[in-house]
Amino acid sequence: MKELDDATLVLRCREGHRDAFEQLVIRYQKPVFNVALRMLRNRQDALDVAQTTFLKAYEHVGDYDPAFRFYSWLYRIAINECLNALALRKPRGELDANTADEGPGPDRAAEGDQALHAIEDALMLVSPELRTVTVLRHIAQLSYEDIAETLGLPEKTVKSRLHSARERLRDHLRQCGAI
Amino acid sequence: MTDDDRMALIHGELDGELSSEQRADLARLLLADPQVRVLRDELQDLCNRLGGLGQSEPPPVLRDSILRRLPPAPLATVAQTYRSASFGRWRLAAMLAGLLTAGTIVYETVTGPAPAGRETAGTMAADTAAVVDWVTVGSGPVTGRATLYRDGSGLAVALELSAAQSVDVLISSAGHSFRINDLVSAPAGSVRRTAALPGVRMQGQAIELTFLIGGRAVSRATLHAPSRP
Repeated sequence: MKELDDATLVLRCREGHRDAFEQLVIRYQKPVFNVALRMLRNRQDALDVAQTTFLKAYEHVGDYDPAFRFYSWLYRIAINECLNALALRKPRGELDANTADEGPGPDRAAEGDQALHAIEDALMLVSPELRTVTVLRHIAQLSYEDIAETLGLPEKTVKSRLHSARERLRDHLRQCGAI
Repeated sequence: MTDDDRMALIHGELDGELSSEQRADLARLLLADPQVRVLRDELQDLCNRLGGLGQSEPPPVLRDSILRRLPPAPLATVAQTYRSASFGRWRLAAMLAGLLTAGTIVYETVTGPAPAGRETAGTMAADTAAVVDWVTVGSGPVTGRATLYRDGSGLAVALELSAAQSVDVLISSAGHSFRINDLVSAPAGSVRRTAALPGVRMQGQAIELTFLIGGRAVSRATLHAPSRP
């Protein structure tokens, strides 16, 4: 299949073409997985969330409103799944070794890089609400407009949350002597 | 200039959103105040680190696993049919009434208050059906999926099942129990059926589905009702 845009693939998917959905999976599995990985910091949980995200997207593709960007809708499902997964975890503060990412991502190639570990730790210490905007901005590299659409929030609120998140993250890094 | 103004300039620079005039304002600020310079450098360092986290490659098994689990067709067809004007709310309501009067649904309230009349009548009539949850029934002699809908004031469940024998379904939630007999009638076949859940309220509770063949439970699935805001 030649490279088709998201809207066309979604349309074909609605018509029952599974191969169209496969193209969407290929296109978005990596960013969705990485958003989940940074939200949850656990490779297996991130895989589960990514899988559930795509299955729900396929199941409910008829509910998708083409007025919005497909990836905003997809990220919204992924973020909701991440928040559900986080809600089922024990309260933070009891940092559980089992929840730490054990996967060998590219970040792990620089084993011992304290700076990267510090930022990963800090991300898990801010609230899921602030982590969400941080991950969508700095990992998924979405614009403020896209984040606002994904989360159903005004852009102003997104900006405010992101600024707060950066300042909290900076505070955590300072506290642990990482900067 | 207030602290908020200073922070807005710094974050604006990090996001590449400053006008030339704002960039000049920030440059003056950085020259005049070493503390602001430290703050800007630390936030810049933070953003570089966030960017440096990189992108992990998902394992190939992810794509395979998703594609293997895809149901035969998107639920869109069911949801759209459910809302479709051509299908008609009256036809759907009539189907429900038929189900009730023919005795194919045996409704038994185990405990709890009797359902309000408006909930029973209104569930299938509203035209604002929205999917709340769904679950795949993927193992054992019964396969398919169950989908929970919210519409108006009530909940409804759509069952799309295949089985080799006649199947009954027991639906229970928070003291209410419904039984649908002969959902998949013998001999083998597939069926799609929607049933209202009168009396089942939106309180975030689990809705347990038990699939029975010959009176024996062969499979179970759980849906989750939404919490009414």
